[in-house]
Amino acid sequence: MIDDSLRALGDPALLNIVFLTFRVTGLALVIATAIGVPVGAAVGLARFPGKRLVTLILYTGMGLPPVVVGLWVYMLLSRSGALGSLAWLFTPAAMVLAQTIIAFPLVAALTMSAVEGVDPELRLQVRALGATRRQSSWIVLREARIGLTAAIVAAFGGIISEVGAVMLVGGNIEGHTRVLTTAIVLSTRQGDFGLAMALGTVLLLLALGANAFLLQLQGRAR
Amino acid sequence: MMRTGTVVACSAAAVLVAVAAGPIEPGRVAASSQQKVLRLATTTSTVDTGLLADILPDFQARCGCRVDVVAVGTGQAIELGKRGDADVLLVHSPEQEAAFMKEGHGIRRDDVMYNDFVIVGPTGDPAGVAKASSARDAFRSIARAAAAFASRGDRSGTHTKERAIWKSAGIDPAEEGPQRPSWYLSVGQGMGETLAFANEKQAYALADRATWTSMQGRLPSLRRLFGGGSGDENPDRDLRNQYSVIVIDQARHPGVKAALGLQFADWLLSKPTQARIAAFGRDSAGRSLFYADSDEYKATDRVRVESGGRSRTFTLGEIAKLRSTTLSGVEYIGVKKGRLGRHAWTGVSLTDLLLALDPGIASKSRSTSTIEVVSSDGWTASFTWHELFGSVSRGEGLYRAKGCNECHGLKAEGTRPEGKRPAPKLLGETYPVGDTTAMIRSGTAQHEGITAYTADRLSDADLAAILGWLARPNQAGTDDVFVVPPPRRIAMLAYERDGRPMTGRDGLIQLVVGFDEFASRYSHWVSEIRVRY
Repeated sequence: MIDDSLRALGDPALLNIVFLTFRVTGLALVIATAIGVPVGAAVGLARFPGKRLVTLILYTGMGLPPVVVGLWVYMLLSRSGALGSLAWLFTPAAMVLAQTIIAFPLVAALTMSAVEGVDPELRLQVRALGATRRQSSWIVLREARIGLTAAIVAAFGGIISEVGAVMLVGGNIEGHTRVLTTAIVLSTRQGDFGLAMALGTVLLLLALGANAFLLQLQGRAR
Repeated sequence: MMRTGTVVACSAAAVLVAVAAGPIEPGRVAASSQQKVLRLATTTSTVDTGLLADILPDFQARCGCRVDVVAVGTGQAIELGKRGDADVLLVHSPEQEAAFMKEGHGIRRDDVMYNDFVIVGPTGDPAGVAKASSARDAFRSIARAAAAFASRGDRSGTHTKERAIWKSAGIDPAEEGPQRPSWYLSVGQGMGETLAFANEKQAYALADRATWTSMQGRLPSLRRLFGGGSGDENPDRDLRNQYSVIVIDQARHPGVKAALGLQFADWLLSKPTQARIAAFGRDSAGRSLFYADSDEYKATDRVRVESGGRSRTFTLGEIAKLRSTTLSGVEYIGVKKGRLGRHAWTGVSLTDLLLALDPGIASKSRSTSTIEVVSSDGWTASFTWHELFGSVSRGEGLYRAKGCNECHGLKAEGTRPEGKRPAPKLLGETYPVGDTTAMIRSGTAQHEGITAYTADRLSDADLAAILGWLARPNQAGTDDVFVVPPPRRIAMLAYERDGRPMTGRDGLIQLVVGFDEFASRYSHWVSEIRVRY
């Protein structure tokens, strides 16, 4: 197994796979965060009719099976689908789209519960001190930063380890749409369990590094 | 204060952007993003065995394009084709492919290569599969023993084949619902996973030989129990695993790159690529994993003739210059494939061709010779000297014309080839007429897997003549010794069919044996003729 790990790590193709994994997951996470945090914060802070329904939808979205998302994206991007003319199917763009859809409810719902957990008194106090609505929202978000980090970390974990959707819409094309998880599936299918284990270890180490980095940032921001 | 607040929400993501900096596509690919891309949807076995990785770089260099390989089960690959999400398919499920073509999704479908399926199972073989005479026989014994059986269950080519074998065995364990027996385990995964599963669960499984060969070393509890040591030794021809290439129709699915797809198909079927496919695995696995099978690969425009110590290679042009013979009103019937239609054939008679090289061959002193007609795919048809230069009785002539010799041997001496289904000696032996007739007529018992010789394929009188010759091969003076007149008894190398030159696909140079109103024996792609003494 150690041999396999070395073999995997010495392979230049692996570097390509690792970069693609981070590019796809990273981009999906950025987009999901950019949309999910404001949406989650807005839902958490605002009071409006139908809020319970939106909350329910977001919570349900957290449990969406990735392969179902993959299937939706596939049907959408297929040449005979609504967005077929984009020719995104079996490209990294399709994978980013699918992972964004998977990550969005995680980010939004966890952001929502994080801001809801902030003492409402704080907001009133800040407003009383003359802060604008925007400024007070920032204060609340800052106060909820640990919850926000957890949201991003959870979304990151959810999509970097995801295989069903990226396999379906990416196609696991060598040198083009093959990421770590689909590479693991391939080597398992080929009966190369040693290589699959080694790739799994690589994935785990990368996730560990990324999360350590995120936690570091959270610490520094404090 | 607010500036530090932004850090949490954004900088974590920003750092990931730094990692993800640049275009979405990996740099290497982005540099050539203007490149044409051909999308090939294929079955997992072509990727898992490493075949495509071996042959594709050559095509990519030629077309200046990139081939995106999407490896899925044949069922899914065909679905991708139906939605226009692939440009070409390389798949192995003839029935599903035929339906696909009928629905008008493809513009072209060609045979590319084949290998075969084997039945693997636990080393102890509790169901006795190793003793089976055919795949369906093996499946029956698995069902009888209620031994664990791992099915792909994923509508792949292998799964489709497995279902067809169960169906022919008259058992349907895959039926959904409470009737499904507990020993039938539908795994719903790829070949590799299914084999690994069978290895753990001590289950039987149907596997394509290529995947089995490449994984065998990692499956210590499994053994090949049926299928022989190589594709040539597989006793059941129904276990053939045929791969085809299909180019998707651009008219039906706009956006599909049909021109590039056709270029790919032509390249895949070309002789050099086919030679590469045939050689693949010889170094790493010690044996070929696929047999090249394109018409272009097998077609040959010359025939080497060897007789009486002489040899000469005749080109198609030279053959066409010899005296031509035409055979018309002949029904074309295969032992396995059944009726193929009525055609008029033009070519050179085998007798004339042999005489052109070796005039002495017609001499009575050479009457013990056997003439072998070999095709480029290895198929061999044999004739006795009497069949071509002497006289044969009606029974003997019919025996070969109807293809009985394919299994029972040129002189009904019986065959027992290594690893294949043995066929008993018939000549001079005594068999009960009733049982024998029933078996031949219905294609059952020992004739299982052979198309039934119904009355329209073999009349009662002809069957009686064959049985008569087998019972009394040397007896003169009976009706059986009626000698078929030469004009109705032709063995020819045909190069034209219905007045048009034959293409590589038709066989280019084809052996047609006419006898009475039937031409039962035929071989494609004749490349060599040898006379043995």
